[in-house]
Amino acid sequence: MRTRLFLALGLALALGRPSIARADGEDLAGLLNESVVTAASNSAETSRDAPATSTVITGDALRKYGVRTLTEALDLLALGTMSGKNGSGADDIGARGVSIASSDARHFLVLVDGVRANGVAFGTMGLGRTSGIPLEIVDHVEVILGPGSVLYGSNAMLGVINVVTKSAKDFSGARVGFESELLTSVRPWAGYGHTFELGSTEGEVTGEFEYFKQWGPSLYVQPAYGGIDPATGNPYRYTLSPTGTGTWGGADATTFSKTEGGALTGRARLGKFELSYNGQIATGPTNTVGSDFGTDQLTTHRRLLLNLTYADQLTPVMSLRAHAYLNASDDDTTFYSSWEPNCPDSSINCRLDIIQEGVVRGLEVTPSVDWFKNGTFVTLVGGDAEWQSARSVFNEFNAASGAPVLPSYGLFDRQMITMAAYAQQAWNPLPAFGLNLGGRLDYDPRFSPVFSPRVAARVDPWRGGTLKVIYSQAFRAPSFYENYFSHPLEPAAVGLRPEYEQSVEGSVEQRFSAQRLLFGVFATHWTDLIDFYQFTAQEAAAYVSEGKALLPPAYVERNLSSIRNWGFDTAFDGQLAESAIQYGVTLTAAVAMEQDTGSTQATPLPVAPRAFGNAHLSYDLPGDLPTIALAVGAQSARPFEGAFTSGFTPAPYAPAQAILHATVSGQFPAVHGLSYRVSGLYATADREPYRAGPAVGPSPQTPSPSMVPIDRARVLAGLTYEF
Amino acid sequence: MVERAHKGMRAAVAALALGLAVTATGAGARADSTIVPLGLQVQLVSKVADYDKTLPGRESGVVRVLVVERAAAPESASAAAHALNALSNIDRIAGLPHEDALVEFSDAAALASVCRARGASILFVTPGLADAYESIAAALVGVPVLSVSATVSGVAKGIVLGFDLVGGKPKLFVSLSATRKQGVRLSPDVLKIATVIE
Repeated sequence: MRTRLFLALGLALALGRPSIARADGEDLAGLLNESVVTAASNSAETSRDAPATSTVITGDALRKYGVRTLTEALDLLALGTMSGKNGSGADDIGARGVSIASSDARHFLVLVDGVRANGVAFGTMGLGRTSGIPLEIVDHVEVILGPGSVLYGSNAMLGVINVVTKSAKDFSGARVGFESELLTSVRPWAGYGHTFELGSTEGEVTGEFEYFKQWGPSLYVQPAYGGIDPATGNPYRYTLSPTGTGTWGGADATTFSKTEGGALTGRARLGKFELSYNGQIATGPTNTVGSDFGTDQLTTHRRLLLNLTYADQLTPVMSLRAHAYLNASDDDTTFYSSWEPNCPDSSINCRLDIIQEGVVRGLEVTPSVDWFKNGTFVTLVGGDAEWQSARSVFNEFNAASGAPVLPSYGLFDRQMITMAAYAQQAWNPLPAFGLNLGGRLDYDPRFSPVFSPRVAARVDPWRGGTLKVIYSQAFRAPSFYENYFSHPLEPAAVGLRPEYEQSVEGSVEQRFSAQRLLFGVFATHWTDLIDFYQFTAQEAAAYVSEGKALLPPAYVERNLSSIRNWGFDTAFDGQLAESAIQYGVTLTAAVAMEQDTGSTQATPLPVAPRAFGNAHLSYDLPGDLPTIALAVGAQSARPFEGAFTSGFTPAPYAPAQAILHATVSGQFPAVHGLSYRVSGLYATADREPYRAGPAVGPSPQTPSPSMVPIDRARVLAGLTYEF
Repeated sequence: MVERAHKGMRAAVAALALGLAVTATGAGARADSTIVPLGLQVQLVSKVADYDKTLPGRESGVVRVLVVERAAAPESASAAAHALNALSNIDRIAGLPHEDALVEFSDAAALASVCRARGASILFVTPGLADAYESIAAALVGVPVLSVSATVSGVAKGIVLGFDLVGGKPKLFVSLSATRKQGVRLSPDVLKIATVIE
């Protein structure tokens, strides 16, 4: 063992020599183009030193590329990530060829100023229109690819997205703005930042409030024929009218694009204490399967994040970070349905109202010991305890009279305490060599403790070059909804286990002054994925005969499938002409094959593209002239959500898609403090690979599935005034 | 949910009030790690030195770097150790070999004397000396040392060069008045890519 250690040290020393060249070989422009990330190892470090593949998206890039949402930022500017708008009106976020249909962003962990933003009721955090994070106050977004459970626990399977807001020095004074997607939305906002000294203690406050309202566009939904309602012998109605045609779809008004909400984000700091806050109330579309077409199907989402952090360098050797946090959210969903399984009385229309809430109160303490006071051997340990609670109720009313149709169901009210302990050892004996070893043990009373290790090694073998090899594991705990929700068609899950992922990746990065070329390969194996299991008629009948249910159930949440995924990602980015020209290109190609438990056949993972990427180019014209910028995100054809299970032949795909943003932004020379941006947005395809409306199989009337339509062209214009 | 959130809010507000009370008597240090990593700062300084036309040491053939710390301030001592370690990994600064030394801060005038006596080329002022930035800047008038602050606030108070993290990337800040007062002449090439504070 000792011999191996000496060999390792000898290797490190031998490889260390070029590190001196690393320091001397960089020019100033190259060093200034280094990205600094904090989420990969819980400390500030350059992205090439970090034990992960990462992208940093700057706030400046969000503005000049006409970015409207964090999802768009991931599509247009990040390496290895892509999105799709799912049938529930939310954005699914995928990475490296893995995108799990209708999972929203629950396989990413989203941090806002260091606090976990994923809610516990569903495990998700929206990054689209209703993210509740105004973009003007965003300093940068760190996108850390690959498992991050070693430090962050559940949900960090595809990666960690860390949204960092601006400090007051970069957001000083008052500012107001107004932005509109012409004829379809408005977004007024106001922000403020201020630094101060209280005695000898420095402090600052920042905040931005935005209001957003979208009322269009009207989108056409390809009709789907659902057939005859066996309860009535007539065609399914799918509308509020007393008779129906059995067809769901047509010219929709605004079901997919009606959104309204407000959000407030910022932080207050005094000395070693910082309070970050984020609150929102937003109402957006929720296109529930089985809802009537063209009716309001809306979810009102409320969220409050509070995070009080204390950070201090206690001694030259030891530092401490501790934070107490609150993450409270609820969703109130209303939709209308005449569909028999949802609405048991075929003579009426039902209004269904679902209220679900989740609250987390947590305390995390993270001391760190820098044994030699120079960053070469740093031990970080942490303990995290959370009190989680969640409640749910499902009520059903006669849409016309308001009278209850059924007693409340889908009821649960659960509390539990989760705990975690983790440790990370960073060893950087030489600048050209670094090791990062870590592990985290998560305790959750619902299942056996989960251990998430990570081993990462970095070597700089030649001038400007960096090699990384990383092995890591991650998990996702079932959400309260997956674990405890039930209704007459869906019994509560039994014995649900967490989803697991193992990942191995390697990358080589080469820097040429302010240009960077990266190539990486990866392979992941996911097991115990949670999804709906569809009962056979015999199983459903057995459920009733065994007294487990009064009605034959249709489906239940189970650990159903596994995924094998492998591929490569590559990026080339940089800047020229003293940063006036900035550019970047990324490409990811990956295979993801899904296999159900007990099955011998694997099929391509639905909604996941095999190739995707983006490109961006901007030019800051000299003087008072504007910045012109172009960004493109593209995905290859993606298999339909039910491509391999719904019976359509051949398996339907959504066409390859490219989204284009062309933006002009700058200052009005005649009015000090007044700036603008105008952006033209265009998508080459008109639909996403997600089911719109009820689960309908092939029929003469519906030879191909109805997919979620998207807005293809829009003009965005905005003004900002800084006082 | 609202009731539970209110309880959580009350706890958070109480904790904040307690924290503020404690902080009121404590030293001012950042609660987060938003400064440019010190290893990267040292690399940046070594490159900016290439553009310092008056860098002391060019004649003698040795660049002398002084890292000033306040040992009683843990963040200063930690930063000084990190900076010295990072310097030890750099072969040459401005094309010359360099000698690095740690200096304990007593007062600004004594620090300026040390800079003159040792012919210091670069003076790296560590975090934890924020309350002394102005006095150090005043004492260095006429001393053509490249004074460097780990944070941008030092530049606002008269240190020649400082760093900040904006959009996840390091930025250079230069105090033009400090360069004039100290007699430091930075090349226009570096001023073009730095944020210049008058």
